[in-house]
Amino acid sequence: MIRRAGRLAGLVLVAALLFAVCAHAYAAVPNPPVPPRLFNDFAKLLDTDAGERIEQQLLDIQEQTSAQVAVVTVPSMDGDYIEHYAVELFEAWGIGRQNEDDGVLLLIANEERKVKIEVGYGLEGEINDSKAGRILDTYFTPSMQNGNVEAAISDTVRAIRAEITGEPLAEEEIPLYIKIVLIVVAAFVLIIAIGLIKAFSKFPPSSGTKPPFTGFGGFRGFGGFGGGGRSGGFGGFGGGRSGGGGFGGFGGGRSGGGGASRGW
Amino acid sequence: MAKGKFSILWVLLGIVVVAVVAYISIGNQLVGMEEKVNTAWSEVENQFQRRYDLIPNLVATVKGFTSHEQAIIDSVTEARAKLGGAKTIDEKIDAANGLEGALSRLLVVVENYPELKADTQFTALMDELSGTENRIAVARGRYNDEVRTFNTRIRTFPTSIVANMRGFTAKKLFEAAEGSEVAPKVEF
Repeated sequence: MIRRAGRLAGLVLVAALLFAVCAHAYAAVPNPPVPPRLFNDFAKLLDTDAGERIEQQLLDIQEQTSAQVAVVTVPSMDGDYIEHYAVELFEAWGIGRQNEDDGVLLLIANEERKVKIEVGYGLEGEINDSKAGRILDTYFTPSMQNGNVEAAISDTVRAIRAEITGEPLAEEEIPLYIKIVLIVVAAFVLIIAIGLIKAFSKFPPSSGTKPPFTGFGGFRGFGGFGGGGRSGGFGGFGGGRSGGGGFGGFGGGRSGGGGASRGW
Repeated sequence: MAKGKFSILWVLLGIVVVAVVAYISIGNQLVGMEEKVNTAWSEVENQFQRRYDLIPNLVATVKGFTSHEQAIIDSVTEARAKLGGAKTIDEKIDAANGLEGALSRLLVVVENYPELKADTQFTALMDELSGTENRIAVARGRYNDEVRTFNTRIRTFPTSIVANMRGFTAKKLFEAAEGSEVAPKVEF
């Protein structure tokens, strides 16, 4: 019995070690931010005002094209290569909508002085690798070498935007059949409610202890729908939009290593 | 006595039903997993094709700038032809690794030609090529993940019994050639 317990403990230890090793192998990529943001300056390259300008620029792109362009700066990649790191981060965060895969990641590794445009599957046709390389050569590297980080990021994002020919984010995201179902359900609720009110007014409770019926609390509205009803998959937050105009979260898009990288 | 026989029959029937249901459902699961492996592999082949298509342009551009590197250029062309003729997955992996080696040697040589490295067409080609190498690395990783899941599954009891009966065999991992974990890179 004791021996068996010892063996069990050994197994648990090995499992824990394995888990620790696995966890370490993926510890390099930061978690997606809560609340979600498109510009994530982990390396603290820009001040708050400049960061907000970039965030607004990225939000506008999503508004106009539905595509999610995320900019991430990291202080260091802990020995990883930018090509690998970018794919890992892209997949962990799920940039772009699921199935559309219309996400772009501009990843900047400060210590290594490397930059990568990682293009989601859905945009590989619009931003091919040589285009991504040319964008970095034209807009990113020169400004970065002059120390103008905001211009480097902002101009690169603008150049990426120019390549994306997406549709504007649909204002009405509720499909017709759901609306019909909602109307039918609402009608049923109304009929039942009227029936209840009539029943209560005809047969008041004999004991009189129940509080009188004071009406319904009012319709509070629906909680909002995820982007086109997609569930978002791992790492995504459903791609929904919070009515306030902020960023609703990444949608679970994928990439396969497309894009280009440079040093500066 | 007769009653006992009867209940044993029922128990046997129950076992058979459970076995048949398990056989079918495990078999279907394995088919699904094998399909995932195949999908992952077809993405690898897509990227092989992409690299295959890029090489003639690359060779033409490099030839325009270099005069003494015929041997290396020939080795790239030969490795490409070998990939074009490869039929089985094993042959394709070998040929792809050979081509990768030849390409990296070519890229080392290219370092000696600054005017080639400055050429915009060459830069664009190199972006396409390293993007493709990078995609191959990603597709390879995802293929290997699927293969590992599949291979583990068909060797785990009781799935192993069904796998044997249905003739599922372990899939081959796509082992990268030495030193090719990272796409060949050219610094600009």
